[in-house]
Amino acid sequence: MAFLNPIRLTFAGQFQADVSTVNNDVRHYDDAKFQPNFQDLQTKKNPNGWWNPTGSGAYRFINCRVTGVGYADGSWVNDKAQDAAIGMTIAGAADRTAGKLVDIDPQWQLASAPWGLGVRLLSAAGQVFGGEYKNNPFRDLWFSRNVNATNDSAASSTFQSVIEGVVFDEAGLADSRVLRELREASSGDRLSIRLATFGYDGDASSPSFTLGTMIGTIGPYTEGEPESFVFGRRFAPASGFSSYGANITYFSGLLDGASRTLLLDLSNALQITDNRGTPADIGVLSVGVLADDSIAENTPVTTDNLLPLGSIDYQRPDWLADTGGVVAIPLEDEQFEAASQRPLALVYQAPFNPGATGEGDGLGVVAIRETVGGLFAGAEPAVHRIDAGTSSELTLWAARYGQPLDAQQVNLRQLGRIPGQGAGTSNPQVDDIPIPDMGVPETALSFPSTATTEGGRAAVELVGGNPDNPRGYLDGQMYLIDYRLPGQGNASRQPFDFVVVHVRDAYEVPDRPTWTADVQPILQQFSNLYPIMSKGFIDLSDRAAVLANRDILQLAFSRPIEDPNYMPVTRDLSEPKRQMLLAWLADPDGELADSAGAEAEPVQPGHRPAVAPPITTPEPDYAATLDSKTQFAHNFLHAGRRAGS
Amino acid sequence: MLTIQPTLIEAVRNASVAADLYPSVQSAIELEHSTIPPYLTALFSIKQGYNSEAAQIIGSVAGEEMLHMSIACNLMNAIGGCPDIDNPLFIPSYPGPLPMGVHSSLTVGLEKLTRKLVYDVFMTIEEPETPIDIPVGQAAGLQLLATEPPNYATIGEFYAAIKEKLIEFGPGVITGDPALQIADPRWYPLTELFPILTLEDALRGIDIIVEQGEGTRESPMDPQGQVSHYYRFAELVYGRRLIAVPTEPGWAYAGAPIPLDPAGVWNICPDAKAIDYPENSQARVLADAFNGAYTRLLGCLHQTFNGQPDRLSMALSLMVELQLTAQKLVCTPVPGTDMFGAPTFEYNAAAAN
Repeated sequence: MAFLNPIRLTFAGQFQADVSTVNNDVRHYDDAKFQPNFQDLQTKKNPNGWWNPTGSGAYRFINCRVTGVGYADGSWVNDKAQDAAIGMTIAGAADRTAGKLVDIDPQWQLASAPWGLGVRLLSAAGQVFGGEYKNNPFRDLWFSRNVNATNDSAASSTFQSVIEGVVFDEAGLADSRVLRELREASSGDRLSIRLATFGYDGDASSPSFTLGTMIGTIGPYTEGEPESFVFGRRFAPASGFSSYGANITYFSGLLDGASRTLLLDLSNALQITDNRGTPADIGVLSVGVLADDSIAENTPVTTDNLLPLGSIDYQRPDWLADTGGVVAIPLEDEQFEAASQRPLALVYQAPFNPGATGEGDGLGVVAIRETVGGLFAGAEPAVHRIDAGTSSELTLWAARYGQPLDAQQVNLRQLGRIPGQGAGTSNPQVDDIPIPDMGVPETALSFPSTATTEGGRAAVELVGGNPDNPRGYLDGQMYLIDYRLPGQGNASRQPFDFVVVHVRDAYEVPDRPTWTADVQPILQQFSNLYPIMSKGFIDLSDRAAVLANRDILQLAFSRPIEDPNYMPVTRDLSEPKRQMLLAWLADPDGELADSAGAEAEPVQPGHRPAVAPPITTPEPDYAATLDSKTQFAHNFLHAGRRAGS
Repeated sequence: MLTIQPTLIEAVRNASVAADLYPSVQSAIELEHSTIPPYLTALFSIKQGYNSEAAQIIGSVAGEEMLHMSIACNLMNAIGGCPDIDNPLFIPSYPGPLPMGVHSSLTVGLEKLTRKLVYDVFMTIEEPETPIDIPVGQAAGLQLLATEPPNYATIGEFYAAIKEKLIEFGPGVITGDPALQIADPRWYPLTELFPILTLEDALRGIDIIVEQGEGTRESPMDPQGQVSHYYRFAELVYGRRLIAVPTEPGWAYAGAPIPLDPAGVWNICPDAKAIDYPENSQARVLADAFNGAYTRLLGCLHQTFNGQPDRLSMALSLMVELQLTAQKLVCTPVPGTDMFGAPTFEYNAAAAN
């Protein structure tokens, strides 16, 4: 059930995603053609390093407070007097650097994941629980959520994952029933969490630059369920990203047998009219069970072909922040039975559609419905980093009307060659830099073309071969894997819902790595792409600077990958290349003997390169003309249409 | 000269067991820390690529204050106490007196770098009891603003009293768990930050704190051969490096010039609090992020000195985050003013993290 559980707490506030944007154009990875102005803020005339070249990658909770809590008995309260958890703060880790938001590759920017993000619940007296967000990426990204915004600021997505290593403070539980129930209901030391994020401000001239709105829900995690999606009922628009008329995007729900409740996650589903998340008015909205699978989206329904289950009070002020967009509908036995076996639908009274006004037997029209046949397939982890010669396990899940499918075949295939991904707008400075094709050679990634579920799930091994540097200036290759059940059409799956794999090039660590041949080519690229580091702290392309900061770099390059300080932040360096860097740092070009015995230089705060990073003060006529995710998605969907898939 | 309340010296002298010294050593930890925010604020106010000599001077002193704080923490653990760092009261409110300070003696704030700030405040913090009168090319034309109250003690006397008391207690005063001691040659030479395992180690550690700050009565140099803090700051004020000369007293501020280009210093808000910046402003977002990182840094240092020495590496990472955040803050305009954001060094457990 995950977070979509009668026992849950909801929070609302803001987030900061101070992502770096120099790496948003894949062509900036070409060291030979890299220009200094690629580290500058974009102007009207030149995209330069896009809209936040000095981003740190930091991903932070900002002013997030618990707004409401739900209990096992299905009741819901949002008054502080009723449960001490209400009003508490959700914050990141107490004792380390901020988490980082990381794309897997410039050629796949639609699966950003938080790494090293702590999640803590704080009362005035201190920490009530704390743990670690496991690095699952966002899903269900769409670009037309806010009807009064454009591009990235109109976009919205959800991050679902587990909080690992959760520790509760006993004293903090005394005054909170929800926290006691949450701990009781959770397996081991894990909780389930779902964030919905929207209203992002990528305008460097704005006071709220790099901030956005966050709505979150935390619930119990049950052993054996997926971490990063709801294994239940899947609602899908008939085509594209959102349904006709009501403009509702993909979302999930489930039937809870214990409490006889239908739970829907509308945190990311409904269009909004502002950055706070005020839903757009689509009239009376309710949920019901369709009589059969033939009743399509935008079809009028009556009491003959729809069994109403309940209404959705999304028009209530602050509904989204208060409820986290989770709707809980208690069901009668008859309703529960029907809902277990037939497709669910949201219906709304669209004023322009026959039968929609509630006249006669009309209950409205289908705003969005469950997938055809109630089929759902999920896969996790959604993102894999595989070094040549190693493998990674992928788990596939299959369900029909929320029931796990046994002995069900799941088909997998590579998308194959995809040209032209990850570039920005045309510009003379980058137009002559080739954009590498994705997805080839297909032979460098292997996995079975079918898998058969047992108890609703199947594990397959993704095995990395050696792509042998097909992308030239970029390590390894990116692959997209399509997975689906036989008979499952495109419309039942979110258009970006692929398993994404970065297979790294084979690399043998030299016995004696050298700066010129081995180290510099790698560090130069990081230096180019991340001016916050190279201009603000250590110029990684400068051998002397690297040597002077050898100790702290050894520390950063030897952290576990989950650590927020792991270098490189992008986590795109293969293990053998990382070992090579560490070998060189341990004995730079065999010169360690020269400096052996020399005293360490004492720590000196504030040291930094003589050349400053470009200051990101926008020009007076600054206009944010580029939007990363929007542009990336546009390119990808365009390539898909060209390829006819 | 930093003057302190005489009762603090009395407390040290009246100690009958090691535990009686814990509050005094805790005060020493707080005092050594308290100089770091003003020094770092001045340091961060320097525009990148400008005033590199001044930045080197302030950065090197700030780095040694971090060393001194670490030595004081090692001392606390060595005599069986527990350093208390992760605490809102650990941070003084700026502007104001430093911990232990006589209230009227010196007001320390968080300001951009100017020679006047270094002369009035930083040199006063670091002033020896008997400064050596070293000639300058020309009269500085500046006077110490601090007026000495008639009854005061000095920080030098305070540390001397602790040394005397430790000697009085004898070698048995070192009762702490050696595993709590922090020493890592990657960050400080073992000659400066070493485990305090014996009474001699304790006395040597205190000497380093005092001599790196004040020098000795005979020389402006510390035992490591570096110009001590007071004279290092004086180099910045007088605009010349201290060099050895054949005439008395043997040194003069007559070496290489130390320019301070005012165009190379950000005009940051003096003595700011995060709440001063408009709620919906980039300056506020960055100040909150800075304070969040600073608070987490104190938490991390607390863990480091309370049994988790491997947390030191995370503390270093937090210092990098602190610096990178400050560097953005100081070039971020504060709406409605012609000034830029300043770090505010406030405890904020719930701030952006």
